[in-house]
Amino acid sequence: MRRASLLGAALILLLTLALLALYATLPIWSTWPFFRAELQRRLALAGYRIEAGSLRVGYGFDIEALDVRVLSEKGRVVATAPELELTSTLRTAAPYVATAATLTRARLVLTAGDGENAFGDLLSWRLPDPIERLIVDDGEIVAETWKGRRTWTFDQTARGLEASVQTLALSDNASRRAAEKLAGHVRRSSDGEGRTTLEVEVTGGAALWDEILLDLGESPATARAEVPAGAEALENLSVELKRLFKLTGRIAWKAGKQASLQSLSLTLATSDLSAAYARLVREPFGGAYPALEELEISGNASLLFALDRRPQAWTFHGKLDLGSLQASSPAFVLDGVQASLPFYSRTAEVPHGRQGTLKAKAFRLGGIDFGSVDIAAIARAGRVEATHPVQLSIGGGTLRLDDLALVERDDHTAQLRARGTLAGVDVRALTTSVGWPAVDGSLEGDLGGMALDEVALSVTGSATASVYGGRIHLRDMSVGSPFDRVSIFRLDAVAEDLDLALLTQSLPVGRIRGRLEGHVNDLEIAAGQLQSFDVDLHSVERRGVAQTISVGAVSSLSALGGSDASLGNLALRLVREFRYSKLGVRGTLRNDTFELRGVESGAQGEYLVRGSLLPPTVNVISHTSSMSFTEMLERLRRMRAGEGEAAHDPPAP
Amino acid sequence: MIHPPRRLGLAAASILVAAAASCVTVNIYFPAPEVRQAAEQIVDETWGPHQERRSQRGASILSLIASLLAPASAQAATPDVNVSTPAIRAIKDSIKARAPQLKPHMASGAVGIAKDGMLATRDLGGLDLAGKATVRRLVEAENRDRAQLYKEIAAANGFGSERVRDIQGIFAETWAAKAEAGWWVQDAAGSWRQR
Repeated sequence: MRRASLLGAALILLLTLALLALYATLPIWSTWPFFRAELQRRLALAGYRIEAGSLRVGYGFDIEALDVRVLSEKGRVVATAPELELTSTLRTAAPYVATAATLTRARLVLTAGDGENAFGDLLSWRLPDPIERLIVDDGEIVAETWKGRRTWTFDQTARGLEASVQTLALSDNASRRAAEKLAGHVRRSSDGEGRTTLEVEVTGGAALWDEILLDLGESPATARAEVPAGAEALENLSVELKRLFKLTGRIAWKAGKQASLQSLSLTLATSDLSAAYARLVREPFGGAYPALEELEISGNASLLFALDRRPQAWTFHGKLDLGSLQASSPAFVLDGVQASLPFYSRTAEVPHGRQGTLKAKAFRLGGIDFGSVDIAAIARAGRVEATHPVQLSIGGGTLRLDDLALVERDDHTAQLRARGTLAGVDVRALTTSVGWPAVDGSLEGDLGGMALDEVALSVTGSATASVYGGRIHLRDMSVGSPFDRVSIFRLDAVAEDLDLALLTQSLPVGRIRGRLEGHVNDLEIAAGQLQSFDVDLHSVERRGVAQTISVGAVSSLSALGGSDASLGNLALRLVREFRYSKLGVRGTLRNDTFELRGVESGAQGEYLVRGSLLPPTVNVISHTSSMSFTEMLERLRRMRAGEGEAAHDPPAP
Repeated sequence: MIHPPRRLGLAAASILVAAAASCVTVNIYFPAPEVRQAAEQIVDETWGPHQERRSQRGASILSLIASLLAPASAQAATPDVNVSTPAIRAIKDSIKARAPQLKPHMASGAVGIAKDGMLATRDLGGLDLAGKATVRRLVEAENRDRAQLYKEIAAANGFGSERVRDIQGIFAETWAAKAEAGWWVQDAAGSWRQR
């Protein structure tokens, strides 16, 4: 009985509280039409209107708007179910009992999504992650993460609107694109025939676009565009960042639920490529791309880029103009570049092609002077190709490039292709120009297909160097990761009948006489160091050719690691040269470990030098088959510096 | 005498036997434990001595357990993982040189270790624009180096490009396991958790 009474009292209490809550929110329910009208008025200032809408009042009198749709002036839905924050003052007659409500602040938050936002039509193509929220708050327009909100002062007239801002900050949620302390002026005007002109001037602050940071105080920005009546386009667009670049052109888009970019035609021009490159390329991307960090560039440039949406695919074309361009880095120098190069996408229709040119007064690559460059080109769909073979001078000879072309591949990446031929190259001129020991000889070859892209520079053909009285064939040449931090040079080399006397004469390793042949396969050089190889180089007997090795050369071979001469030091001092029957090294380099084998295996170890039957003779035996390649190089370096015995080899007879 | 149907049968059987004999299966061993050890070594070398002691202890315990459990023949067949090529050393040097610049941003939570073994910007709210730009550039450069590192480890060991993803996955676990206290690490579900 008592329990039933308690239950009944509780129920009554709950019912009373519920009625009180309902009564408390009644003013809000009743004033919603007023709220909505107020919101309509405020939205109208920004060119939007609100449709439908109902309220829900939650615990603690949280007010949540439901079924609200915001439409643009043209009736397009720019947001559905936006967040609506209403701040009201409740007049109460007693605690928890409201008698009236006054709207003190209405704040509408439009959440962007899938291009159906207020900015979507215009910017979604350029901004895959656009400003996510637009807040319309009684004349104040800010994005959700904007800081230091600034009330824009609207000067609404019949044909125009002006607003100025002094300390605007904005950011998207990921802080990929943001601005701080923006100061500037916005003007929107109409000519009476529906043509609207937008003008923006930013005179201070800074802006971030991914890795690119712009000081807008140092490079003030001005932008101007016209919107024709009824057109979804920006015409006579002009955006200029002082001392950096000027962008002009036209952008057209299609509004609606499937909003999309339709076409654009933009020209990006700079008269100070040095400043533009430093601010827009080197600073933001130099850390990730060391080649850009080292590159100095100056001159002027202009790039026209036009994009059109066709029923089947996008199509683009454009033209690159370069004037008085100079580019230099430790790897290369290009001087006096003049270019006018049109280009077309694979999908473009170019019945006859368009002519272009590329000229450079000087081109040096890796210390090698290639002389001047003069290329006449023609642009066709998906490729820009040289109309004639390109001849570059190299070491007194020529590098001829046939079918030189820049090609757009299936995956829309670019690749530079050519067929190369080397003829009459003086190896001495070549080796001395890159700072190597001078080597007499010539270099020629059919380099076959050559291709350069982001992944590699590859050469399908081969080249032959006639040096040291024999030949060295080079093939399977490539440079991996040419634009990454570490590029890797690869090749296979086959040695044929090399004169060891000539070879050792040019190297500080002592004297050896005889003939050498063999191969070095899978040779890799990275960061200027040998990375891996499989080597098999050995002497071959030739009638009438003496096979001798000097004391210095014996020491050098001993220094390869763990080996020693089987004759005592005294004998080494008494005899200058020894006879040998076989000499050579076989081995592999992997993971800084050099697995060394000789020309013969014996009980004592691997014979690097097998002595002849007739004295004076010498055996060099390696007792260590595996050694650190870095340490071995260090030993050889010390030897070259004069610490080793090879440095004391007497002059050749 | 062999009748034509029997001849046909024999021919068919011969073809089947030849086909079976010509079906060669090539099993390529991917030494995940060794790659993991290599990853630990590289992370220790590049991201500071603090983790080095811990990793050496962990590695030695792992090695001891492995040596007790693994058969001798299997150990003998275990290949070394090549991580000391000039290319890898150059990339490691670059990562190591960048680490002191990145670590304060790891500690502040601006940058975290993503589940794919790369760095990701998390919360740049406390930084001014110059700071945001710096962090973005550092992260971009670091991620390019890491991508090339994984590629070079695969190439140096002859794993083939299809193993780069596996190597990256092992490194991802290692970077996360060796994160310092206070750093943010993304779990497999994509949620960020503070160490």
